[in-house]
Amino acid sequence: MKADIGQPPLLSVRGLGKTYRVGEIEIHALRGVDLQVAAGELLVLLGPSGSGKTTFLNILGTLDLPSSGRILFRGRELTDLDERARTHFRRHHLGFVFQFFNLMPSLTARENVALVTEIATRPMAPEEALQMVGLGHRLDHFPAQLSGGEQQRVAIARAIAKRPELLLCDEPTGALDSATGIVVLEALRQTSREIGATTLIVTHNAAIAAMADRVVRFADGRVVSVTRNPQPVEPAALSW
Amino acid sequence: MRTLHRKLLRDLWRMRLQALAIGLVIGSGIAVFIMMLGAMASLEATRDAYYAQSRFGQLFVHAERVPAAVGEALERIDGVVAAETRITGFATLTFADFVEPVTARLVSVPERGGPVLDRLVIRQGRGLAPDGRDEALVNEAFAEAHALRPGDRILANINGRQRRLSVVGIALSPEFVYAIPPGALLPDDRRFGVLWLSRSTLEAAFDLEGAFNDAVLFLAPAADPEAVRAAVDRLLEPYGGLGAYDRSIQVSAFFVDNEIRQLRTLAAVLPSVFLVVGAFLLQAMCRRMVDTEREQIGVLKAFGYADRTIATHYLTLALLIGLLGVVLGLLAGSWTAGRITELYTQFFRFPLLRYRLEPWVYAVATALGLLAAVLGAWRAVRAAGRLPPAQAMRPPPPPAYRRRGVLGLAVRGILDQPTLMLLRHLLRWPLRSGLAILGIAAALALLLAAMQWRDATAYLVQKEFFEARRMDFTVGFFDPLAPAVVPQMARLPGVLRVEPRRSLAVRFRNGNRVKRGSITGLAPQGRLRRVIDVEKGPVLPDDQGVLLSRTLAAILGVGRGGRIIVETLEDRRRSVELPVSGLFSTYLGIPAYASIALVDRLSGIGDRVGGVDLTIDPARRNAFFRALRESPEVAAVASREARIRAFETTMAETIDIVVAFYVAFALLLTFGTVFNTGRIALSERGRELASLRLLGYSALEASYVLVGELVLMALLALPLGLALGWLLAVWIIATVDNELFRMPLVVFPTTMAWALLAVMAAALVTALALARRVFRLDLVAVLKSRE
Repeated sequence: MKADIGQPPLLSVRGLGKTYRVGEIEIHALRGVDLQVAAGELLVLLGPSGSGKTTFLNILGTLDLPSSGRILFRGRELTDLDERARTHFRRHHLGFVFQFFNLMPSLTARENVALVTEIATRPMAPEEALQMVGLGHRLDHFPAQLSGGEQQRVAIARAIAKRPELLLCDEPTGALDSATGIVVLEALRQTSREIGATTLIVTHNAAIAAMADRVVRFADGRVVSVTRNPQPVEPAALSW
Repeated sequence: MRTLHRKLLRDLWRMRLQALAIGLVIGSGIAVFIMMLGAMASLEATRDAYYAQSRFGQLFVHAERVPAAVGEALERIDGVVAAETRITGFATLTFADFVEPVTARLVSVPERGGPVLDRLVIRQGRGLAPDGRDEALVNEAFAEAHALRPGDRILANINGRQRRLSVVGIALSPEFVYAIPPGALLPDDRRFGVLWLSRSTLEAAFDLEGAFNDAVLFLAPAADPEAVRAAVDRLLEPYGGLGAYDRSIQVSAFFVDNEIRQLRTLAAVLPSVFLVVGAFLLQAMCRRMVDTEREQIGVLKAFGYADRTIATHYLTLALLIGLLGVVLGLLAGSWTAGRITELYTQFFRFPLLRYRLEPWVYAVATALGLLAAVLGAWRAVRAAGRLPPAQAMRPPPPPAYRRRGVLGLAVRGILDQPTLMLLRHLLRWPLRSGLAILGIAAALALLLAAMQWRDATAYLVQKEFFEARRMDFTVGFFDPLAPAVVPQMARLPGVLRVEPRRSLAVRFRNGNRVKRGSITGLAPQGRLRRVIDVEKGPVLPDDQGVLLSRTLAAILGVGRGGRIIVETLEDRRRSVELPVSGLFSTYLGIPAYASIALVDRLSGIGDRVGGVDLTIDPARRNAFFRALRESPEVAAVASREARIRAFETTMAETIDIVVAFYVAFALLLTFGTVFNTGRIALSERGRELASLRLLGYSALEASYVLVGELVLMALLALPLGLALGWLLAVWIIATVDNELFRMPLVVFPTTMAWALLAVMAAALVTALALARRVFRLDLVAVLKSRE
């Protein structure tokens, strides 16, 4: 699944900067990031904590606003959307997977997925999404009744059930042991491939980079390198 | 330790709105407590001091004509310390600038030295001169209503003779603290006054030289009031004694006592509603706080802070919130108690009534507020103290939800997921949700119970003054007159209809149940004074039996068709057994009715008319009033319209103010409950709400989960609140169940609608205010923190 040079990129980031003020101190979280992402690509964003990779992901997810620069999604400006349009963007184009799962404890696995399919335009059935992550047998379990890996797979099912074009994952294995983490990454890789979602995975775990089409390294608020994996490996072959 | 204190203050500051909301609920309870008990204590202390200073009598008796010598015999009765004999009666007064009839109660004052009992306080001018013929003292409320001052003159018709009285002083008497016209519930100071005249003036006016017709007795502390009463009755029986009665049913004293009693009962119950809800809110808040701070608690303990210190830390926080409530409550309570006491001065004429800050009331209020705080925080404080440090430093397990019957498979596909979330959250903590619902229900109940008072009064006026009484005026004569007076009254200008009436003082007896009262004889085919039977509707009294009010029938233990003994206390004394031909409801007094023919037969002195009920042509009112003034036989006049107006004015000036206080406190209770419940839900579910936003739900859709839950709780609280409000109203109405008056239990649909609307609006506004926080949720921060 390579980027097709002939097509316009799905996502085009130019000169993205973000400055926070914490009390008296200015923090430059991002200092001019440029990145082009083609449809269907899987990118791993690597970097130590504080390197800006999560800020970058949050801005792509319209959770945060940049201080400078532009993001074009399918040629449409994302950075000057109002609150309403940002909600619309998240609702229809975006899937999120978080480090701490963020499931609704009061909803079962099926209902957690339905939470998203109810408001999406052409979703798959919640059961189908859960089937895809291998949880077809745990549909009616509440989060408190599921293991960490299972909870994260529910979160993946929830993210892909609406068939998003862009899937953003923030440290999806950060709260899991390595064996469970690999199962989760397999689910992620397989589902994103099936629905053809462009996937960005933020992690500080360099081992995960091997499954990416391209690896983007962050340091000190800048992209320091972008390398293409000639031969991405399947998650099952990863270890850390 | 000092650092821990700093944490305490910062925590409190961070949660200031929540602390304030709880403080307001506890404060409302304290304020209501002070308002009722403070006003009660002021009223009680003033009453006791005034009664003692003025030597207010303990036993009262009225008779027809008692020789003066018998007065000394009264003083010799065992247990009697002093007896004041006197002459009392009625008169009509004429004012140049007030066309309506004015009735005065007359009380004689001894020629020298003033009364020994029921002493007067002269507020202006002087007392009567030793030979003060035609000098008068006037009660203060009446003087104010007519702008009377010493030196003014009043034209009075006393027993058929016009007298020009000269006002020499303005006075107060313990007998007329609450000065109301006979048969009324409320003062009407323009149309009713009390005049004190010299004994000789009234002896001459009522042809009672060397005699008296009224006495007040003061008893020794150890005296047996029942024995004294029996002795007085025996002594006065031959002289038309109507039976002695004690202070508890002396009209003025009764109303003062009734007010004090009612304040005391309400003070015992109403504040506790607020304090209990306040304690529950505090419990939920402290619990939540200990949950969110469990890691901090673990760290503190790991560094060597004792369990006790940690527990004290959270207890202090709760106590500070309780203290906030106490301070707010003391301030608001003192102010409202002052206003309420001020309202009482419009009705109760004491030499000095003002709000007195009784230290014990404040001490009890403070203790109650702090107790509520301690009890509320207790469970959370104990949990914080007992939390093992290692366990504390691990995050708490995620809350476990279960499918429950209704919310299981049955609802899948019907409810959307956000609705399912809010329902499950509500059911996940049934106790907490239940208490929140109870808090809102309590607010509604208070609102209803307070607002129904107005409805009850309006209903009473409707029943008694519109349905049961249709006369415009009730006229009383000095002495019963021959029936020829009826056509004579009918000839007065403007009179449309006249119906005669005759009352006879009697003693009812059924076995060993005895009750003093009177039977009012009504005209055959009468239409102006209707007796409405509980079963048969309006009934005309017949010549064979008596119609008893339900309260009287209950006292006598007799029903319709039963028989009672009637002993007449006036005219020719006799004892007759009569059937009870019907029972009727009334909210006023314990009347009994019969046909006027039956009353004439009972009296044994032939046909007489004691007074008449009249309707007049409104266009000829003034001519009618003038003619009435010139009718020497008229002793007292009461206007139905004036009574209705008195009710309406009182309602507007007093009941509405008291109700407004309650409405304010009830709304605070709603706000406090909804705000706290919502604030805790928001803190627990901030992460869920933020996740919803990330999943593509708009802020409005996400806040639905929060607002929906709060509104649902409020909706669930409504039926419960209606039921509790009904019970509370039943109980409050039951505190005014006495022989002089009772209150109906009615809530008009509009009142109910307003109460429901007010509670729903308060809940909704509070919920929406909280929903704004969902719009401001920092999505990134909420997702990064792990609770």
